[in-house]
Amino acid sequence: MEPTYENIVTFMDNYFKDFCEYAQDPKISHRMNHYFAPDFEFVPYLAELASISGREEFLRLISAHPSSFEKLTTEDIMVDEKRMVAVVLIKAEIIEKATGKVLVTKRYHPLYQLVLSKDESLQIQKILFFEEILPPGTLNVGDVLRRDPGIANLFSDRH
Amino acid sequence: MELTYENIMAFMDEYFKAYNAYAQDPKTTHRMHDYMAPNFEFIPYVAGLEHTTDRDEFLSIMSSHPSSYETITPEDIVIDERRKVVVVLARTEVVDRKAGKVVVEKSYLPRYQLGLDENKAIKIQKLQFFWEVLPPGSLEVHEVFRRDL
Repeated sequence: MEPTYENIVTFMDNYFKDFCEYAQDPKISHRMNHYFAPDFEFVPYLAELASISGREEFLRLISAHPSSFEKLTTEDIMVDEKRMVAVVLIKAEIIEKATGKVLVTKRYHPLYQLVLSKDESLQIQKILFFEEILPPGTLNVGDVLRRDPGIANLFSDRH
Repeated sequence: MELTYENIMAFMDEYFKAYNAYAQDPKTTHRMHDYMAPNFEFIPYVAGLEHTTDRDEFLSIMSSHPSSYETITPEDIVIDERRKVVVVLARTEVVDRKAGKVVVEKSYLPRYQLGLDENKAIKIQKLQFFWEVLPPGSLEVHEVFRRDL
């Protein structure tokens, strides 16, 4: 796939569709493998989150909060096809599975560095992750996700 | 000026130089009019920062913290030429003027919507603003700026 503007937008659209469908279930999160380079890196600009190196570790952590799921809706995708970068404005909703209730709504602003794999497929090599700062005292994404002990490694020792 | 990739890159480089040199001094802040549309909108995704819908209101806030200043260094600029949107990974240093000491360092990831004015000059129409979350208890940019209120 050539890294044209249209192909990058299509890739990102598919990625978010599949992220919501597959990434958060440990039984099927491997279906996300083809979106990520093996040496994928997640770099959060959030003090409470640790950086993650490696596609498998990222997917393991993302699928380790069974009591809730994260619904991501893309609101705007900007693409620099020369640099193979996309930056996406996302509305994130954290939903409690038992009740179906939206517990947290906030915006994310991740930057995706893309690469071409050996077979010329687009893949995400790195995510620089920024997110909205909610008012003090508001229930936050980390407060909900940390209810499941399996995701604890995503968070730094501060909590 | 056409909104080409190269022109947008040059505009953003100049914008940051001008921001650091002029935007935070009430005597020179008007020089930022060259870069911002009159109906410039600032949309912060940071609780505690003010949403503004007017260039002069934004510049008035930016130039109302005389005891400190910030120096913003763009580390990476990505450009959607088709949509006229720019995202910048930037590093800021907030300096206490009296002490000459950097009191806050953090990263920003702002998103700029550009357009052309009636003279075909590039202008920033909208800024959607995200910043790094520092560890709890860290001194924040707006806490330093608000010392002057």
